[in-house]
Amino acid sequence: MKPLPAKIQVRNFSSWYGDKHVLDQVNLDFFDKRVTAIIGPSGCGKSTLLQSINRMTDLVASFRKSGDIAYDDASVYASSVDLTQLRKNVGLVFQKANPFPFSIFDNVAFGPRLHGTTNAEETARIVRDSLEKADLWAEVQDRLHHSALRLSGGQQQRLCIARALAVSPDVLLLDEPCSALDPIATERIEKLILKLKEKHAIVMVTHNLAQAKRVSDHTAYLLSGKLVEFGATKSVFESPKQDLTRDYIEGRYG
Amino acid sequence: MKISEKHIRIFFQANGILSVLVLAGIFGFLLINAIGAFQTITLGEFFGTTWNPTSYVQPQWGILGLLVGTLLVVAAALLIAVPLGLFTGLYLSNLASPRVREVLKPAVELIASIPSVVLGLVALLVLSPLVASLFGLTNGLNALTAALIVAVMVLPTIASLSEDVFSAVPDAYRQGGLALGATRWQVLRRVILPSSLSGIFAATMLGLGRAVGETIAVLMVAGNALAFPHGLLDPVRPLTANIAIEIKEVVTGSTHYQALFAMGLVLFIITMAFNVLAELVLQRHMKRLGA
Amino acid sequence: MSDTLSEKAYLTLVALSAVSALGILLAVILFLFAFGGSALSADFIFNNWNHQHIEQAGVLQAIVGTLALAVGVFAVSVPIGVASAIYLTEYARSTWSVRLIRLAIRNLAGVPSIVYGLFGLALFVQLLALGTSLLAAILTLSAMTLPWIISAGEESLKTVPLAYRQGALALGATPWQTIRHIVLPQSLSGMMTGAILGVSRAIGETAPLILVGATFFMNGLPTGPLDKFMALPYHTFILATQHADPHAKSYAAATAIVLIGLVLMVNGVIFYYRYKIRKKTLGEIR
Repeated sequence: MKPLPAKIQVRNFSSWYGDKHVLDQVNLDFFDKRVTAIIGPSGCGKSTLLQSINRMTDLVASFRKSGDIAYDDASVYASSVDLTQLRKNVGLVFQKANPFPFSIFDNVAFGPRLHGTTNAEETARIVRDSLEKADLWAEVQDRLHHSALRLSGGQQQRLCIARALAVSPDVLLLDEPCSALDPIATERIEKLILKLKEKHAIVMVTHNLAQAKRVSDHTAYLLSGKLVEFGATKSVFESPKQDLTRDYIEGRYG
Repeated sequence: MKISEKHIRIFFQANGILSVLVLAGIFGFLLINAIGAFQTITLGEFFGTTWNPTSYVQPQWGILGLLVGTLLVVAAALLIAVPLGLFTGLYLSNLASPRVREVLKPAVELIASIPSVVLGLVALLVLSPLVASLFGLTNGLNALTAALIVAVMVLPTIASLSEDVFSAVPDAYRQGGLALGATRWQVLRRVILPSSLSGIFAATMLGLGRAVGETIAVLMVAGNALAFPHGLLDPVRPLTANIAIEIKEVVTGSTHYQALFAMGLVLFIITMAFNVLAELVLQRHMKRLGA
Repeated sequence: MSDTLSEKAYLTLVALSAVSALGILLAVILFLFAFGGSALSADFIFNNWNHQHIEQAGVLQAIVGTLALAVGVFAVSVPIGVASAIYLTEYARSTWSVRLIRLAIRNLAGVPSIVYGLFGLALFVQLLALGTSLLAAILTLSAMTLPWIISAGEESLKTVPLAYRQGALALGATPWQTIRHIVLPQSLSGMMTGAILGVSRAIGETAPLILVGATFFMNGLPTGPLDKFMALPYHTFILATQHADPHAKSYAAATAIVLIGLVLMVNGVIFYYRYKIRKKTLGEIR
C-alpha cells in the first residue's frame, strides 16, 4: 500500500524567542487525511511548533528559526510565499476560542469575504456549509445574526472551527482545542475531528493522553523542545521505543 | 491591489515619524535662532542680570532677572501644590469612600481642563485684590499671585500622579502594617509614604515642568516688571511671559528676535529635563514595586 | 488618647486638602458668573464685536473663529495622530524606532505652549509665508494636540484583545485588513473620545494664538484659511488685560463663560457620539 503523502514536513527545525531556545532539531511528518497528536508537558514548544507552520510566529519580533517546514513540498519560509494563501490553506484554531465581536454569520463569513467572496448567496452557502461541517448549524441556524460572544464555550470553539473551515483549508492545526471545555463539549469536538480527517490533514496539540489515544492516528512526543518519539498512536502508547516516552505515558513524568 | 501592503505600511510609518520630525523641528528652529543670537550676545551677557533689549544706549541681554522671576513663581507654586496634591492623592487612593471618590476625582480632573486664560482671569479678578489687601500693596500683580494660580493649575497633575503612585503600593504592605496593629494614619505615614518617595519625586518633577511652562496665567497676574525681583511680593516677568510680551514688537531675524528664541530654547531644555527625569524615576519606581 | 486625637487631626487635614480641590472648582465657576453674569445675554453671543460701543458688542466672531479652529485641528491632527498610533501598536517591529517615537511624543507633550507659538511663528507664519492666519494657527495647535491624540489612540488600540488580531491573521488577513475590519472598528469610539478631548484642550489655548494668529477685532468673519480670525481665549485675554473700558473685565468674564460653555458642549457631543457607536458595535451586524 502506498504510503500517504506528507502534507507538512518539518526538517531539522529549531527555534528561539530571543535567547530562549524553544524547539531543537525537530523532524516530523504530518500526513494527509490523518490526525497527528502532539503530546508533551507544558511549555515544551508544542504551540510554537504549530504556529511556526502557518508562520504566526512572524508576529513575535524576537522569533528566530533554523531548519525548514514544507507544505505540499514547498517551504513555507521561502521569500516568495504568499502568507495570505498559506494561512488560507493551513488553518489554525487557538486554544482559547476567539470569536470576533460580530454576529455568528459575520464570524464565519469573515474569511471568505476577506478573500474576495462578494456574492451574498455564495457567502450564505459557505457559512451554512462550514457551520454544518463544524457540527454547529443545527444549534444556531435561527440566530445567525446574534452576537457570537453569547455562545457557550464549546459552541464558540466549534464556531472557530467553522470559521477556519470556511476558507477551505487543506490542513487544520488545532492547539488544545478542548482544554477549556467540559467532557460533553469535548466529546462533540472529538467526534467532529474524526469526521474532518476524511478531508483534511489534522495536527492536534493535546495535554490529554486519553484524548490522543481516542482521536489520533499518529502521535509525536515533544519534551523540552525535542522530539522524543514519533509513530503510530497504537505503538507509541502500547510499546513506546523510548524510556522517556514510557515515563510520560505512564504518568511518572509531567 | 494597486496599493500594496508595503505601501500602506510605509504610509503609517511616515505618520509615526512625523512626531519625531515635529520635535526636531521645534528644537531646530530654537537652536538656529539661538545660535544667531549668540553671534552678537556672549554667554556671559546672556546670563547677566538685566534684560533691556530696546535700550538706545547699550542693549542688555541678561536673563537672570527673568529666570529668578520664573523660579520664584514656580517654587512658591510647588510649595503649595505639592503637599495639597499629595494629600489629595493620598485621600483618593486610600481614604475616600467610593461615593466621595466619584465626585472628587472628576472635580480634580475638571480643574485640569479649565483653560489657563480663564484661571488667569479669576486670579486677576479675585486673587490679586486679595493679595493686595492682605499685604497692603497698590496692586496684587506679583510673584505671589502668580504662584497661587499656578499652584491651582499644577494641582491636578500632582494629585493624579501621586494617586497612581499611592495606589501602586502593594496591598501586602498596607495589610502587613494594619495586621501589626498600626492605625490608618500610621500606615500612611510609615508604610505608604516612604515606599512612594521616588514616585512623589517624579510627581514633583512633572509639576515643576508644568509650572515652568505656564504662560498665560502668569502673563496676566505676575506684574511684568523688568526690575530684578527680591521677593514674592515683587512684580516679576517670568521667561514665558517675556516671550509673549516682546515677540510681537520685534523685527524678524533681529538680535532681539533671536534672543527671544534663545530664551525659548532655555525653556525647552528646562522643561524637557524635568519631564525626562520624572519619566525615568517613575519607571524605575514602578518597576521596583512590581506594579 | 492623644494618639487618636492626632490621628483624627491628620486624617481631617488630608480630607480637607482633598476637598479643597472641589472648593477651587466651585469658586472658579462662581466668580466667573459673579463678574461676567451681567454681561451675558443673547446679544452678547450673537453680535459681532463693536469696538466703539462695548455694551453692544458680542462675541459671535470669536465663537466662529474658535469653532473653525476646532474643526481644523481635528481635521489635521486626528488622521495623523491615529495613523501614528496605528503604526506604534500594529506595525512597528524594531524596538528602537518605537522608543524614539514614544520619546518624541512624551517630550512634545511637555513643551510649553509659548514654545509651540515660537515654532508656529517661525515655520508656518514666516518660513511657509502663511502669515498670521487661521491656517497657521490650526497647524500650530495641531502640532500641540498631536501627542495627546497619539496617546489616546494607542490606549484605545491596546484595548482590542490580541486574540482578535491573531484570529484574523490566522485566517489569512493581511495586517491592513486586520486593522480595517477588526482593530479600527473596535477602537473607534475610544479614539474619537480621545480626539475630541484633545481638540477641546487645544481650543482653550491662548499663548500660541498670541504669536500666530488671532486678532482682537475684525470686520465680519474669516472667509478663507489665510484670513485673520478671532478666538475666544485670545478675546478673553485682551479684554482682561489690555482694554481700557471699565466694563472690559466683566466682558472678559462673560467671554470666559462662553468659552467654557463651548468646551462643555464639544465634550457633550463626544458622549452622545460614543453612546451611539457603542450600541452599534456591541455584536451587531457590520
